[in-house]
Amino acid sequence: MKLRLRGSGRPVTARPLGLRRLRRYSSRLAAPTTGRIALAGYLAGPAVLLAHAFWSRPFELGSVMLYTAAVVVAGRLGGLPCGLFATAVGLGGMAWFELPPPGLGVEALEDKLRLLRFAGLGGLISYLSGRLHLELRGEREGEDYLRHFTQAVRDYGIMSLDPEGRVSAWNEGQERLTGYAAAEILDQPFERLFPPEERDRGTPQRLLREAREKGSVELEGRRLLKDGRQPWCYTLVSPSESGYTVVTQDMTRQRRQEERFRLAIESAPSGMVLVDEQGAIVLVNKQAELLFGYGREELLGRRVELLLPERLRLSHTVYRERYQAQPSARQMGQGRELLARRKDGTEFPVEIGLNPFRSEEGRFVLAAVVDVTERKKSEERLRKANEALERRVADLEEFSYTISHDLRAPLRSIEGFSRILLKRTEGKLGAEERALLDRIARAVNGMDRLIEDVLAFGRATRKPIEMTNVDLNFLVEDVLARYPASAASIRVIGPLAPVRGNEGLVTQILANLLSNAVKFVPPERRPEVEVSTRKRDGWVRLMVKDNGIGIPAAFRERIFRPFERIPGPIAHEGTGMGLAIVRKAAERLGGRVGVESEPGAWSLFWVDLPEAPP
Amino acid sequence: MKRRVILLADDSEDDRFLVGEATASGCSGGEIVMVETGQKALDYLAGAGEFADRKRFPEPGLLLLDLKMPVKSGFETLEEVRRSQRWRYLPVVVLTASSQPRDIEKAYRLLANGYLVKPSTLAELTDMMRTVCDFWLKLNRIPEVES
Repeated sequence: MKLRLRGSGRPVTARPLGLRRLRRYSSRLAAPTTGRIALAGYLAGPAVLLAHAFWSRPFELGSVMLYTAAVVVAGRLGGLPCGLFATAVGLGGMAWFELPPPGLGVEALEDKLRLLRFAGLGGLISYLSGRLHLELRGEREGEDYLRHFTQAVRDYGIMSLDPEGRVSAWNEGQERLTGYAAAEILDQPFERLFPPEERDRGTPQRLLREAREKGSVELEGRRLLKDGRQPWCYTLVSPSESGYTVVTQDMTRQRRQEERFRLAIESAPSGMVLVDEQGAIVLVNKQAELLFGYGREELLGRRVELLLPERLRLSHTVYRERYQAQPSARQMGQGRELLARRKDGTEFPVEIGLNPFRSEEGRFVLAAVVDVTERKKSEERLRKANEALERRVADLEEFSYTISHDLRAPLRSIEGFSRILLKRTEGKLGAEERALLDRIARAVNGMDRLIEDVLAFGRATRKPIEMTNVDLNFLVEDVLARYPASAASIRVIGPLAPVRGNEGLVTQILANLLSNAVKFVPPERRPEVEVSTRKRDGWVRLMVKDNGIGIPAAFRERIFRPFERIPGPIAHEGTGMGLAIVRKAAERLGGRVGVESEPGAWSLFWVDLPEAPP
Repeated sequence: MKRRVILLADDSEDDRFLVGEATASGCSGGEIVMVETGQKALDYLAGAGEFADRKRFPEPGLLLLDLKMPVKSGFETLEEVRRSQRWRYLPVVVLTASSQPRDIEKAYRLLANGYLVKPSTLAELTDMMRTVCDFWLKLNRIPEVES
């Protein structure tokens, strides 16, 4: 991908692999020493030969020239050791064939000097030849290496230019890249490889000039091929002994990947901001521009903190550095409210997803920014609506409580006064009148119970409850103690299984079921009630069976509704709320209610409640 | 023998009548005096104005206090009683129609000694007054305070 880094001012691209190595070899190609040493070697041989001949006696000239020539040839072919060997052989030859045998005046000073001279000159020749030998071999090997290397990297075009910018060498990579064979392009100005507009702008000349001034220059841009295509290429120009070395790579593939990356980011539905290790923005998409109100060019290179309210910038720097020390893909600022700042200074709530990644250019963090203003607004609306609703429920509750409370006050008076009247009129009023007073008092009692039950139903519906393990044995005992049913026989088939529930609600269930069980029994029958439980599949079925009047099938569902009563022979004091309270309480506990019955013989009310965990 | 007196503050005439009736039949040996407002209850305790005559308006051993009264509510009255040097230990039992948990909580927070909900029948009220009388007037002891 292409990133413009702040401060550097030059485009840098993911550098083609192996390029640095290539550059090193291309400079070695232009090593200046070889030619000079070779020249010195070739001149040294004959010069030494002549010098030797000058000092030698005329009759010896031929043989000395022969020996010296042997040393030169040996040194040239085999290097220093061969040269020295030839020198030694020459010395031996001279001593054997041309000097008198030892003891016959051989010790003549001149002869000794002659041998010494030959040895010294032979050594010098050998040394120079040896150097030459090594240089030439090294050069040959270097060339081989480079040739193999440049051939191996066919993805790179490599060419040499002379100082005027004309092509002087051309590798296969160049041929593949541009379509020009070496023969077509050699000695042509390398401007031919640039599109006309680049040529007009003077780019080729600028490249050469900058390469000279800076040591090397890199550039990305379009190049003109033989077939007229203009692919995006990377070019490295470095000066060499004979002019310039130019390496070119077709970046089309990288460019396509880069383009895909850019398009993916551009088309993302959220604002995308790519930030480098220093916190500088290196890439933004259209959404980000719209989100923050900045133009792209205003953001690139700037610190990402620009997009935050001033008061948060410092702390963000700290957070960012901490994040970069241990980057991970995650939501930013979990649990915190994140605020961003537009160009005009307005702030808005955002959610930010962070995605760190590493490329050859370094480490980057891609931030996806979503404006959550609308969502926050609707959340707020929802919260307010909820609050309003809760307030209304609370008001209603208060209202119903007040109503029932204020209804009960006069009832208390009516009841109380009719009772007082009854007491005080003993013996003054007839039995019939006193019966009327008694009916007033009892009607009031009934109404009071009704109000009480409506309140209880309301509480069973709304009151927040806490679930605990409930011991039914204890609760049944408690209820029976509070509602002594003198004539009834109530049998608990225990022990009752413990349930998960709320003591208050379970008590309401038990109290209503038990009082119903003893209430709806024909007057001539003695009420008999059985309480039992049965466990099944995590549920406990609490059953209350009576020997009462029973419930016709048509009513078995309706009796659980508020104010429902069965018309029948027995006039009861029930309010019609009891079973509605039972059902409501059971539902609050996550359970169910139901009834089985044989009209005229028995009813069995059951409630399923969750079994208490052991 | 010391007189056993209950002071009842309740703005409802009906309720005053009924409580009076229930006390008469349930609380043997006890007397009840009644005022209509919380302020009058405070005046009574202070022996101020019309209540100066301690023969007619003897010092009570228990204050039964309704909560919802005009001008000075039961809670405000309770607070003032607890602030007074002379009556800070006077047993005060709230007697109200409200069974709201927040009222009960507030009453105890303001240091009421008990909280009773007015029962709906005269029979129950009579039973209640008998219990109140037996406990607060006959059994209960409170610290002596210099008047």
